[in-house]
Amino acid sequence: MSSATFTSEDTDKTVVNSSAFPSEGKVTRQEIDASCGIPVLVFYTTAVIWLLVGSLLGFLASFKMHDPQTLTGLFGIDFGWLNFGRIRPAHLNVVGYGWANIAGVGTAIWLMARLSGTTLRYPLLVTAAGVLYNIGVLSGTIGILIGQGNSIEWLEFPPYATFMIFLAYAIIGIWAVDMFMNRTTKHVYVSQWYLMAGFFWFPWLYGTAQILLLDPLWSEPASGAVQGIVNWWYGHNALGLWFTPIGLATAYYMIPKVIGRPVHSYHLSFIGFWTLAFFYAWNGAHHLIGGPVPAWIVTASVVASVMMVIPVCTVAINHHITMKGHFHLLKYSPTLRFVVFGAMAYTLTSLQGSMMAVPYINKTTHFTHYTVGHAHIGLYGFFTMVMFGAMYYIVPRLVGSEWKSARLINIHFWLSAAGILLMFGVLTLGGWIQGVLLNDASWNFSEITQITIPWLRGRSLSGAMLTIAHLVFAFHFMLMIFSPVTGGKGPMLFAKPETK
Amino acid sequence: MIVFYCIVFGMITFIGGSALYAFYWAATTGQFADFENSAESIFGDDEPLGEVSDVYPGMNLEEELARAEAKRAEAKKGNITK
Repeated sequence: MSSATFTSEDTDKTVVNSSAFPSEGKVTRQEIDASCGIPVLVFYTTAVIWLLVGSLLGFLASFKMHDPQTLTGLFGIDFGWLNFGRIRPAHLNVVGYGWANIAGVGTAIWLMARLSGTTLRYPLLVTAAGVLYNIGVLSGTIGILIGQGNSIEWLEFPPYATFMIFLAYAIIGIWAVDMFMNRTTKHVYVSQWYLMAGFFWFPWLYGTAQILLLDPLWSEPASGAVQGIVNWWYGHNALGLWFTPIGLATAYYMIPKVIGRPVHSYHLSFIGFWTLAFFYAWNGAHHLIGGPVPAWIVTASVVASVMMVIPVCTVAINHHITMKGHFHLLKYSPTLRFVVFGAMAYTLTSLQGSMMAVPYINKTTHFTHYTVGHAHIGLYGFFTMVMFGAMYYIVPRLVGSEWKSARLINIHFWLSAAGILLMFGVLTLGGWIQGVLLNDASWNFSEITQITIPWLRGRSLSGAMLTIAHLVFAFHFMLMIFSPVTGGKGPMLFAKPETK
Repeated sequence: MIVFYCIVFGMITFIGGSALYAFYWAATTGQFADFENSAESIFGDDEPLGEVSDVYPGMNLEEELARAEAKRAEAKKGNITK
């Protein structure tokens, strides 16, 4: 199963330490990357398409919040399928299951292969799982738009779609175990801990939530207060036990890799992993503060949410000290720029989340746009930005060509960064004002709604910026896929080893 | 409701047990033994320690860094003459 890898013979004059992949008789990183080509590009290409669809749906949903008459019909034809009540869950599911999941799994496949030190096993199976997954997301999105969606947040896809999605997750999960069992590296790097945990947790979460809430197998779905508890157990864990592990695994790999310096404290990285595993699963019920659920569940959840400060601070301190003395490189590396932005947003969103779980704060922020701002700085500011960074690193190695334009990368970065910060800013401020007024009985509801409108317009502006950023990125990505391989030199394409 | 409880408690046992097993496995197979070398396991001959492995397309990092250094030195010199 495993073999010794840290041997002194592997060192040479330039490499101070030993290598995880000895040069003789073992696969090189170039071979590993080549073996990942088709499956990872299938995942990435479809993820980028879903990103565009999700951005447009999100932009439209945002616009309808302040101008509800937008696209309700044309020439007497009613656009019922573009109702806010349908495109909002469609946006959530497309960016969540379409973009974020598919980009995340694509990155995870590449990371698994590299960290296992083997070429990709069963590439056809992985590709087939990707195709099946995409059919699931497509049919689910159409299902929501034609009015067959469920009314359970994060689980709106109708049953015919979720079955395909679950099957695809299960295939990838089993594949990941197979890769892990056949690894040639002795040590399991911290990223692989996160990935394996994520692959293990998510099919479990998804499958359990489906059985308990949507009842595909038996006739007693959870109802009433229990339904809320299970819903938020799933909804929050999908973020913390799936997106967070993949995002952190990527950051733990990319930051040291790009700057050429190991993680500052490997101890801290393990403390961060195990405390995340221990505390996160309890977090979901903080969505139900003030709700008709047993007080001990909410209290336990609030305590666990505040305890999340431990894993978050360990990750934040670790990444910061690893970067210390290398911050100037942010100017020169697109990957580093996106990933470090994501890592900072992770700290921000997580500490904000812990704070929002405190009932004193929650009584103002609950049921306001403040929560929406928090969700976006998490799933976009953190996860999406880390995925962009990963794609800027991985795609050139898969297609054998450098990115075509530094300018397009810059436009993408600045529009994305400014867009998400603007969105976070307006929703946080507008949401807080909304929450304060909602708690004041002298204000009536319609006045408060009027007051939120300028903030919602600001959100639409930020949505437009993000959509343009995504169009630029998609254009650049398609150039990489469809233009002929130009080759080139530089650290992206393994030109260095030949010169040694 | 009995099926509900079976699923919930079965899952708690299974997941809790697997986490304990993972921790036991890691402790007994030396995953927590050599943290210094382990952190460096992602580097190798083809992507060595101490080298930046990603820059903007068409950019020569050494030249860029040298230029930035020269700029800094000039600014410092300017400050002194002031």
